Amino acid sequence: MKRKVIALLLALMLVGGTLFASGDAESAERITVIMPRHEMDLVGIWERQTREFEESTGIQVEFIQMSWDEVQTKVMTDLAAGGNSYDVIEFDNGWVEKFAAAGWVEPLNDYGDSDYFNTLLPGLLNTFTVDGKILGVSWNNDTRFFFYNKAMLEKAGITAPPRTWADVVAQSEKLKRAGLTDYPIAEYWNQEWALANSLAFYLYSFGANYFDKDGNITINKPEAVEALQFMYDMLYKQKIVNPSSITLSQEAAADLFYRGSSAFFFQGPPSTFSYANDPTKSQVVGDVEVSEWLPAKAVGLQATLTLPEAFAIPKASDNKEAAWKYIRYMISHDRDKERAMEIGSLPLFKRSYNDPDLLEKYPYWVQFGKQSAVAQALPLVDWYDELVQKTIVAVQQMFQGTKSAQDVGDEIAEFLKGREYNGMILHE
Amino acid sequence: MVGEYKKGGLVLLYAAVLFVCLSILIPYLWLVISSVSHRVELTSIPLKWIPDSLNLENYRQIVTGSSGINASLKYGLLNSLIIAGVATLFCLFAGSLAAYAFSRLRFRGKNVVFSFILVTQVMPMIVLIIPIYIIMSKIGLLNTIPALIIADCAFILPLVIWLMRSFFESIPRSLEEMACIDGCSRFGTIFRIVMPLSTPGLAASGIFAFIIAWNEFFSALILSSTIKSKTISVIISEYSSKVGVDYVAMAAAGVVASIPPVLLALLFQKYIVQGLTAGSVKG
Repeated sequence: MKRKVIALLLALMLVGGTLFASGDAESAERITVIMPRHEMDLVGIWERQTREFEESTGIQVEFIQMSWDEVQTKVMTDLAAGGNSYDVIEFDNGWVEKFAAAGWVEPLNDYGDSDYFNTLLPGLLNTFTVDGKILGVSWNNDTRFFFYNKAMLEKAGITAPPRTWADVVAQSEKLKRAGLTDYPIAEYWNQEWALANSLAFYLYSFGANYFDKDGNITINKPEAVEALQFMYDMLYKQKIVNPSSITLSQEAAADLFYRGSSAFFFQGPPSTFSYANDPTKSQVVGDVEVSEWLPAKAVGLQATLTLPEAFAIPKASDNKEAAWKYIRYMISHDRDKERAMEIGSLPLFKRSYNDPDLLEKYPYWVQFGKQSAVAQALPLVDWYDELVQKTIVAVQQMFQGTKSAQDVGDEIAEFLKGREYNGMILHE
Repeated sequence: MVGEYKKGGLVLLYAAVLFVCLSILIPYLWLVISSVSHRVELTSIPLKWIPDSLNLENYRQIVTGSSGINASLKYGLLNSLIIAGVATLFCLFAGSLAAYAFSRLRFRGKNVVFSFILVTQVMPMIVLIIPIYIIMSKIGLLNTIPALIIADCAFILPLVIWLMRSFFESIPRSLEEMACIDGCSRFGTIFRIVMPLSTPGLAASGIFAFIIAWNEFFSALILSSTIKSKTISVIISEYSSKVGVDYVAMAAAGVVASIPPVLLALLFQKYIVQGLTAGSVKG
């Protein structure tokens, strides 16, 4: 019996030792890349191009793709702990100031030349540049666009999409009277990050903002309060926004658009048009159009959000040169065009928007280009995540009826007081 | 009159059983239906319970695909099987021996030690994950299968000890005393007398341990990064992107992920019921 027990223990130790035995002998150069899955990449083209990079350079890539929230958790944890687990990281537009202030990422000016950087879309390059230092190279041109259901509008006798918010209200009421929809608009106003994006869009379209370039807090001034009040009135006064919007995610709001329940989608991702024309996803195939303009309080105040993402190299990385080679390879005109042709992702290079192959496949990109001319980024501050938390709670309370639009403006203003922005202290 | 009451009681009992069964089965049935539907059918009004045509594209990609999330699901399935299997076997072996010690042996501080073991169950994983991450990083086990096995064992082992201790308490000591009289050693008694009698308890503990390890998500998310060690629960979470969730593909992955624990439960259901009810009737 004793021998059997000893034999069993030895077997367990053997198995355990085998499991613990680690692998591979170090041979080729290796880098670790972590990024979210591109929302349009259902075929694994990023992974495929990464393997092509391995074959052409001999540099082995541990390619980690996860959901955006998981990537955020892992990247933030590793950077904050001073770890060097990753060589190429996801670098979201909302993190630029925070990462710059913390000194977490390597400036890329000396890695690439101006000939390369100048071929990228200026808006994308500037979003990830702080004090002249290029901290990231964009891999996802996530600009949002205004889509509308042309068939519904035509049935109601409307010949063009709305140019002003007054037009939006008038056209929405016309659509309701025609019995085409109970709620022409579905928004994503659930208490999550996307609500702050939506608020930023409405603020910009009213010529408002959280603060101005001189450090004056403006969120509680008349223009911003008017934007907040407008959001509330669309829900409860004009009743043109679906009441479930205060619990809808971006995707759920889009589903209502694809189902033909709503007629307007003010800030849809670039994939909206192709999804709307996919019969496995949409009931409005052939009915959706991309507008050439966006609604605003006045025509000159049009704005749309650009929420790009970039690659960055952590300062703690031991393989910076190899990491740059990966970025340079993946964010090249040829690879970018291949992705655009295969999955419809928006190009990152200026010349792609005149490319005849792309324009033949995606003729509506002409409208995208016109809307992109008024693209604006979110506030570039290193405490943006705290601002988002404060904002989404206050705005939800407004939707619940426990705070007025002015109260919300005042509360956010109080939060902003004393915060640092561009070397200035925000003040009223 | 009494007969009518009995019949009425039986009807109520069966109605309650039917309600419980439906509330468990209908969500799973919807998962299966969603996995073979097209997204447009899932968002249509009125709801389409039966799709017009079967969408098997996600299942095809899971089996034959070479890139994308669906293709990586089979690696996650294999990793989960290895991690859950090894963690279950280890916890059953070590947990049974520990449970026997707590049940049969007398030593100073036995109850205090047992209480400490149970107290670890009330600590949320989020409190422990950073020290676990640092330890795994220092010993070079990040993104490896052994790291996940160790993490799973850390919170499954107390549960197995607790379950098996209760089961051992219900086995008469007289059987062991008789074996001892016949010349059996302590280990001999454990493996020849106690363990065979404890098969229902082992099966019940084993299936609980396997399901916990199979479903475990948080430590797998933090400790694994690539398909070298990612579990199926982590891969399923990747069906969500910045702007939404691929519900149809996620449903297909959910169906595939549910197969091993469901098969195990069906195989060992007799022992599970015995294990859960053993000791409930005195004498």
